[in-house]
Amino acid sequence: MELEDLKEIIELLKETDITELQVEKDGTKVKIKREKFLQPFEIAAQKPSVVPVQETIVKEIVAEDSEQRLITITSPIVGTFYRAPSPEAPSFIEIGQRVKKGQALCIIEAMKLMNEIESEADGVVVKALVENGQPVEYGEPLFLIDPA
Amino acid sequence: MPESILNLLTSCDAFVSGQEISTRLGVTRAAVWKKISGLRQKGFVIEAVPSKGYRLIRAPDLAADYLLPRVKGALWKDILVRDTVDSTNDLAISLAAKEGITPGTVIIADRQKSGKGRLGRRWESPGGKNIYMSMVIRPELAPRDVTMLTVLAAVAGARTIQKTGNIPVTIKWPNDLMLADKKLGGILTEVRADPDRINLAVIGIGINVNMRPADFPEELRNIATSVRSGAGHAVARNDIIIELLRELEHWYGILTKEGKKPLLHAWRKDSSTLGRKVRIAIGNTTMSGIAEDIDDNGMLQLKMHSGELRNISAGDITFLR
Repeated sequence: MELEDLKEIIELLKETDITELQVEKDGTKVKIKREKFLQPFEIAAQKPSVVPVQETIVKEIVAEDSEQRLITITSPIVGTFYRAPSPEAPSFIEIGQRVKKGQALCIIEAMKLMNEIESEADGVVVKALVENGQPVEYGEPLFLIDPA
Repeated sequence: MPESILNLLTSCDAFVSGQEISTRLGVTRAAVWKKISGLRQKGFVIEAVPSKGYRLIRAPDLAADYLLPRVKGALWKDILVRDTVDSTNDLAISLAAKEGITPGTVIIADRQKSGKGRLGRRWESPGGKNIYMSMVIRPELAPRDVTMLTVLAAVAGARTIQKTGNIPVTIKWPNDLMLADKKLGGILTEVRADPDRINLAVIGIGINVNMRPADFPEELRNIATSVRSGAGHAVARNDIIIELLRELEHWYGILTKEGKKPLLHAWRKDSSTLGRKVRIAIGNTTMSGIAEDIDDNGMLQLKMHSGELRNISAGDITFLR
């Protein structure tokens, strides 16, 4: 058995629940044993029971603390709201993404006039308030940005 | 700043004597002759008559030093001509962002590698035939009136081709330039505006000038046409560009001094959309009705079957009859 074969077996094991494996080939016997707590899979599985509570608490604190300082990006014109420059292209930004001042957030189209809306500040995009392809009014809120 | 020989030759269509040129430029007659030769090598056709002097017969296609003196004024400040670009709008926007080019700069390309239309659509842009140009302006308009730029470009574009090609070009809402229901030109404006002001506007215009039907890709042959096809002969790109920039300046002046009404009136007059039964595709939905009118910002008022008027800000129109 080659060293490469061993490596491959170990890699494969990492993706499974199996903790112990014995292989025999050409007279060589190999026994691989993995301690349960070392498995990344197990660690990931344990997390949800603890972490969500913490996350909720953190989120609530942020929401309370930042409600006043959230920046609202509004539409300067009447038009149609697009999250991406073309239907095939990826969105300018995703929710939760950190953006820089001047970074493009979306396009408002009115009469073949494309108005690229930029972020007014550095921060994190907390929420999109309009769905892609929907009409928007003058001054309508589009995004909430947390300038933290 | 010393006057250029080309300014002297293009400022009047009559002959300018060699002596006058040498005096005005402060150079010898031999140097004048050398400059004339240089211009001829660049493609300028200059007539020389012994007792009269020199006269400019024809400038090469898309020559900035020929175009600029004919349009420079209150609105237009500079012209940049490029052989090949990805897209004149993209170049204009990136130049404006990086180098802060002067508002009033016009960018013209002979060919675009990825000419674009609305929502990332492609604009067919082969070299040597058509006009692809983008104009950078910082308009004195309230952001909520920014759509008037679309109306402005449509009216100026239609009038330009009516004059230079002597053909009945009309406007399909909001700003397609049409000849007998085939598209001859398209306009895409990109702006950077916040609720307080318009920081930058780039008006991009593509005009099919000397395309023959066979030059169009097959899928466009039934829906696209050119100035040449309509006029029955080739038309110089230079002439259309000059006329277009003059028309844009003219209507921009009216818009900023007299307001929106005259421009909206001119749009209605050249429209081939109003009064027709249309279907409009907006994203994944479509609706149909009569294209009743445009409102005071140029938005389409669609009269639904119920009689209700609905304002449309963006969408693709198909004529139903």
